[in-house]
Amino acid sequence: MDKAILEVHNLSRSFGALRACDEVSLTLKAGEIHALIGPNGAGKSTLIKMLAGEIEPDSGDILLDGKSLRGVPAHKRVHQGLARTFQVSSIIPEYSARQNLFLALMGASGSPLGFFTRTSTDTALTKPAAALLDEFDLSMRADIPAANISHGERRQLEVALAVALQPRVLLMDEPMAGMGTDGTAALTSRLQELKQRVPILLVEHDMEAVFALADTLSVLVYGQIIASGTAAEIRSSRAVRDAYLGHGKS
Amino acid sequence: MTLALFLEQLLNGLQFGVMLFLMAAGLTLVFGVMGLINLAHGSLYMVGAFACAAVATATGSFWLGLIASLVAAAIAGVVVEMTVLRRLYARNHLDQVLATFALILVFSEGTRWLFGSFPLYLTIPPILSGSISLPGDVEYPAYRLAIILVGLAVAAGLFWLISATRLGVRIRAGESDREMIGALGVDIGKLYTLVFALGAALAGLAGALVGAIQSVQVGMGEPVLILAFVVIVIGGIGSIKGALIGAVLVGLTDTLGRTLLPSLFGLFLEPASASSTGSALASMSIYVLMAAVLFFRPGGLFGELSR
Amino acid sequence: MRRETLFNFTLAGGLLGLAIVAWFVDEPFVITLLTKVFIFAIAGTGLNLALGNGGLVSLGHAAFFGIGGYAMAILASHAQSFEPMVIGPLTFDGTKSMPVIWLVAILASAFAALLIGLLSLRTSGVYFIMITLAFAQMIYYFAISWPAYGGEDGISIYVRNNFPGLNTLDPIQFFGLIALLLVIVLWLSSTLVRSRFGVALDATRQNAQRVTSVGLSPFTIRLIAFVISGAITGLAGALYADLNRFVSPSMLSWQVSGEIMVFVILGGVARLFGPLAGAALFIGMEHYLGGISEFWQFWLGLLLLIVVLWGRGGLLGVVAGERRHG
Repeated sequence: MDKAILEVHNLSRSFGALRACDEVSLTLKAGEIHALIGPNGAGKSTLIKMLAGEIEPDSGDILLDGKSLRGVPAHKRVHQGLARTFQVSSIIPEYSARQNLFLALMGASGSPLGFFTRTSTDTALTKPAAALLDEFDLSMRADIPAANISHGERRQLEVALAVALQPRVLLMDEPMAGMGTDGTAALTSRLQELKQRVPILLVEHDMEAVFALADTLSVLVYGQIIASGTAAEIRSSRAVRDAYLGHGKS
Repeated sequence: MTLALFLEQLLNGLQFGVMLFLMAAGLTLVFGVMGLINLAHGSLYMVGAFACAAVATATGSFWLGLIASLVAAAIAGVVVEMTVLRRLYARNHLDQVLATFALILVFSEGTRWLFGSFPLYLTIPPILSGSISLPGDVEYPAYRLAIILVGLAVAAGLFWLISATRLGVRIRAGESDREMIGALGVDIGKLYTLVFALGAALAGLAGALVGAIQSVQVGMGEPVLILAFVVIVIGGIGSIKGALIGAVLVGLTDTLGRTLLPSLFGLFLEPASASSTGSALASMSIYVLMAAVLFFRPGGLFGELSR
Repeated sequence: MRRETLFNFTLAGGLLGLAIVAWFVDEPFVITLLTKVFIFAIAGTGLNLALGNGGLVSLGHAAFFGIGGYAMAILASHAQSFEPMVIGPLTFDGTKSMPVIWLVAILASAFAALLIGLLSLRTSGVYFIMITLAFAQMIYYFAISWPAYGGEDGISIYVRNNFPGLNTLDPIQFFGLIALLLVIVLWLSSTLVRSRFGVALDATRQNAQRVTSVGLSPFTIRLIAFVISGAITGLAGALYADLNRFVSPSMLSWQVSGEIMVFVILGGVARLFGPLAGAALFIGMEHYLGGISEFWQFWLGLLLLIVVLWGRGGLLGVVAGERRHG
């Protein structure tokens, strides 16, 4: 339970005069959900992007299973076990859910090559895709363009795509965004199950979901982590209260 | 090579460069403000040259021809903008490429229809037909010197326009945020037409000025257009400063490459193959320059993409 | 049967039928015209892969078309003059054998596409358009100023190259050979589009960020597509040179890049038979409108404007409705 899988050490990144991320350190252990909360513009998205390799940090390091990810391009980080979901659903709009999963499964295999076999008859893709569709309750809607399925279904697909990659660590950027109460509840229990398989670094605004799910919380304000601990510890933290109630950063 | 010859080539390169700037400035403005890639910009260059040649022949005055080139290219620009291009601003680049490629066909064949396939010739006005003695024993054609001065004056005028006038403020606002200027109550349609007319007039002017050194013929615009693209790629899209520096770099590289490379190869190859190898490589020199810039700064020297 | 499939069969069947009729009534000119259509369709199929499936608006495919053409002309000119080619310490005899020429044309244009792609795919959007155009222009000027292979005048090949077992000088036999190649290229293209690679390529066009986030590199995918696309267009260039028994720098000019793009668009982007439909329409117009008006390209320009502004989806879009995927 307590083995650190993802370690972030003193990660910093500035945009011009703005320090979006300032000496951020955190760890993610096996079997846990570590939630990252904080007001808008606190640097949560910047942190996720640095972890995923979409932007380079100015300083600091990221270790996955003890191996540094410095200089590893985004798509190769996925092969090392880092998968992410996006704040705004990012799927292939003209593809069906099934075809989106084909793509993810190809990514999991590490290569886009294969020029002669039809994907629709390629059992290395079709079988696991069918299983994932089933698991994420998407079977009924598997073959219509993903642009036409409901928002909730797209969020499910988004998670399914990440799971298809069989990651060691899952980065989730506001998975509940735009979901109704029912959808949030369903996704909450889904993540509860999922964390047994893969630890999750969760950025989320829905506090109810966060407190229900997270084993550890870190509070990010103005690019700095001002508090880190269990839900109870965070609730009672004075620094957090000040930050959220507007007494400025202390 | 003597110093005088070198200086002369340097001036030729500069003259070629400011010409390219007149083309590239309009292209880069139109892309920066409207997000449109306009292949038909070369056609406006051709329209300017033909208008100048036709009016100069009819009236006997090069100067009237020059004014006609500005007016004709601007009018052609406005007509094209209002009928075709404004439907394309929201479209993808592929549609823009195709529609403006179609415009090239229409302009080129239309011009051939009106003026025939034979090239027209423009005579340099008497005032500028001699040459001028410059320091360093250089005798340089007055007309080419005038082109350099006109080009530099236009560049200065554009910088002033962009940085110090209300139109410039709107253009810069349009480059950074298209929705914003609409929200501020600026008539975007008019602004776009105006910017396009300005770019078109500059292209027309360039066509007329060059028409007097070369010949005026259908198809004269596209090679210059492609060089203007190279200029923009080097300078960075949307940047007038980048267009100026890119244009001068391309002009100098091309002109000096053509004179220097054959003599350079002459040092270790026999004359015949030195001149052929040299000129073949010289014809590629600006593209090599472009490739080098791309390699180190994919967004161009002054582009927003490069950080 | 889907309307698009029906249209495809009608189009291909109609063109083949026309060729056979022309053969019976001894109209070699019509056969040559159809050969040209099929060759342009191969070139367009190459571009369609980058443009339609990959979303890479390359305005420089004339480079590959011309390189294919020059590969043919250089090999055949050495063979017809019996002078071996000398590259450093190596010497090669030229050849008149089509399969060898095709292979060289494919490899040479693939290599050029690799180099151009490595540089131009670092950028996107409008930069990519301008850069591909500029590199094609570079090769154009190089061909003009390089005197060893004809410079501006180009190279003539006196006799068409050979294919084992065929008399390639007979228009219908040459046409048959080209038709077979078109079938192979179309089969290859349709297989590719449905394969893993095709799925990854189309996904890259739609959402490159998603492709990265599942662990694939959009750059690599685009580069592979660009190379395959260039190679197919290069093959078409070698065939076109063989049809005319002549190459010149004009094969490398920007107009050719534009025209190949026009075949694809007139027919329908990312449709298997789009380039064939577009090429047939283009050559048909060139032939018939060209007979009526010297300025037929004026009318072509207007037609193209209408297609782009109002008739999106090209000929196949009109016939078969919205594009479908998968």
